Amino acid sequence: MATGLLSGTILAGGLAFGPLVRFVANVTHTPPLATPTLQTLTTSLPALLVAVALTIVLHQLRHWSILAPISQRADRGAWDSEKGLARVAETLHSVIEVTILEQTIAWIKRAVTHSARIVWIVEHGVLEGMIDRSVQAVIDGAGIAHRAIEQEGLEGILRRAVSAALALGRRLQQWHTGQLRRNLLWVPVALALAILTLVIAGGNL
Amino acid sequence: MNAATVWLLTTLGTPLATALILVLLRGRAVRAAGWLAGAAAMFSLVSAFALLPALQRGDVPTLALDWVPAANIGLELRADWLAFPFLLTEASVTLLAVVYAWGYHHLDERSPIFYALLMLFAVGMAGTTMANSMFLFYVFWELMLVASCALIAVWGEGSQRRAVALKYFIFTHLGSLMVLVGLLILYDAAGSDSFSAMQSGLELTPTLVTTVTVLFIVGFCVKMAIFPVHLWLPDAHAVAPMPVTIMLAAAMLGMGAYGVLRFPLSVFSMEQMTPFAVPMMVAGIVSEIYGALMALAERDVKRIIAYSSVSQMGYILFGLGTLTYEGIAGATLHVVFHAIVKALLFMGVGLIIHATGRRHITELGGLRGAMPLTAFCTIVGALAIAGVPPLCIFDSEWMIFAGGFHTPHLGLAILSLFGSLLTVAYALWFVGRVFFGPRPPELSVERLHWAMVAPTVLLAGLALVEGLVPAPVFAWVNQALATILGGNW
Repeated sequence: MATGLLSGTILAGGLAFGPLVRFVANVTHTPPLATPTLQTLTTSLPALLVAVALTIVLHQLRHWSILAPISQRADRGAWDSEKGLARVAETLHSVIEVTILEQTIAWIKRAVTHSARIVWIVEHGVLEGMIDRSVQAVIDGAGIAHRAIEQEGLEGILRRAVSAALALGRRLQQWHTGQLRRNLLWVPVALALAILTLVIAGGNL
Repeated sequence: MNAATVWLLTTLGTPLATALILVLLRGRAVRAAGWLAGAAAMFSLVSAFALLPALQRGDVPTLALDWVPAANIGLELRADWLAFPFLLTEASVTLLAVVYAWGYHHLDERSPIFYALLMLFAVGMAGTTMANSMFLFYVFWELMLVASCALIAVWGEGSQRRAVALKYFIFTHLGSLMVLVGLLILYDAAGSDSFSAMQSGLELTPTLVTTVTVLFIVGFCVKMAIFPVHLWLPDAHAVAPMPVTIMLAAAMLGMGAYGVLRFPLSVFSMEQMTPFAVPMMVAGIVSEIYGALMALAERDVKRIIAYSSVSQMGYILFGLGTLTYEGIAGATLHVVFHAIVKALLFMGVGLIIHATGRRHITELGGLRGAMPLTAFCTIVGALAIAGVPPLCIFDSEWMIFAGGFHTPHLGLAILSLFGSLLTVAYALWFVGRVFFGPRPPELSVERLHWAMVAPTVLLAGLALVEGLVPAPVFAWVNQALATILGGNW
């Protein structure tokens, strides 16, 4: 009864506020709320009716079981509906709450526990492992680059250039030391080269 | 001659005069050499700061002297907004390095020559930024090399110091020769060696523009120690006495960036520079990542920070290569902020080596209890180099990366971020290994001289202050970019 009264009040209030809602929607240029269609009513109404009916029935059962003394309740052994309904309620309780709800909770708990394990494996085994391996690769790469590029590569080029320059210097030194006439021979050779260069360059100019 | 011109002269003249006095006095000035050099460096810094009001008024302090009028070769000094941040950085680093040397360098009869060479090194850097003629630019450019080479050869550490000095000289000189050829081509095209004549427009064929730009960029990249022409840097930084290392890393490397800004970027237009954008960005990224990897692979603490310089110069080259306002501004800012942080890191490393007598990172550990102030300052330096806000390098890196994302080359911009990741890795690994963890039982810690600790603490504070209040330096850099970008671009 109370539920029915409450539902009726809400419905009446909603109907009364309808024109106000439409006015506000027009002023603010917002689309009005979709009113329940026949389709939504037909799908939701039976469920609502069942809920209201169950509420009334359960309330009545409770009311009768409180008011009536045990002996009278015992006298009502002939009234099977109460026991039947209680048995239905117990069955519903065991089906919904124990079987479905508690099992669902247990399943959720198992899923969370397993997920936590999976997350731990992903984080410590996979991600941390990737990070450790990346860091080690960077450090090893730095060491390899230091050895291969810096010391053996670039410094190696420098060392070879310096060795070549020193070898050339020593070779030139060998040519220029020894007998005096051999050294003096370089003077006319150098002069001849210089004159040749000037002649060629002068010709090109 | 007005006041600004006088300040211009004193910025350069004071360290030069002090060097001459120290050379003349020699053995008689052993005890006073450090103080004289410090006073000269301080006066030079004050003179550099004194140029600021003139610049803010819109004046450009200039001093010109006709040297060989028949060949249009003059000696010109000029302090514009482009030179100012670099000049200030050089003067500040010189002063801090000289103060550090008071505690680091053991006085002997050669000390006046040591400080005289430090002053000449400073003159070379200051003159490079203030030169307004190609001839003078090249003279000061080579003076930097000669002075620093002599310091490494005579006062360097280890038996290999002469070989390292020779390697440093030959390598850097090859780069200088490339710059010289570029300067000569420009001189021939402009008919004068004045920068003003150069910037008023040059008639060059596209082939010559390409040739000159390549010569300048490669030549200046040698000075900046960009991969693969960086080979001189790790040995030179590791062997040089610490005050010289500080000046090399914090100030001299920035002269290469100054050269790129002053020459190809100021002389040529954006259209002419566009073909070089991607190669510069790629070279910058390679240097960034390679330098960071080498820092991770090294075990000598000085060489770790030295390779860090290779990486940081890569950021600067990348920023310059974006050819965007944000990238170039970020690169210029990075030169200034890198100077602060690199000087800080090398000072911290110097304190560690001086206190423990060890350089190998595997022999160090757990030092934060015995050296709390050094630990704090070095950790600040490491966090700064890693680009952690609110320290200064975060600001400049932000600008550089923003410049990268303003270009159509998003892939390169994303790649440049990987360098930052590796920088965090080696910076935190370095401080973690040195200051945390178990301390080797036989590791003893000696007391440190105040002159070595004070500039370190000052730089740590500056790294934070500049990070929180970068506006003044940014305003100077902004003005400098108006000189470059407002010209031919």
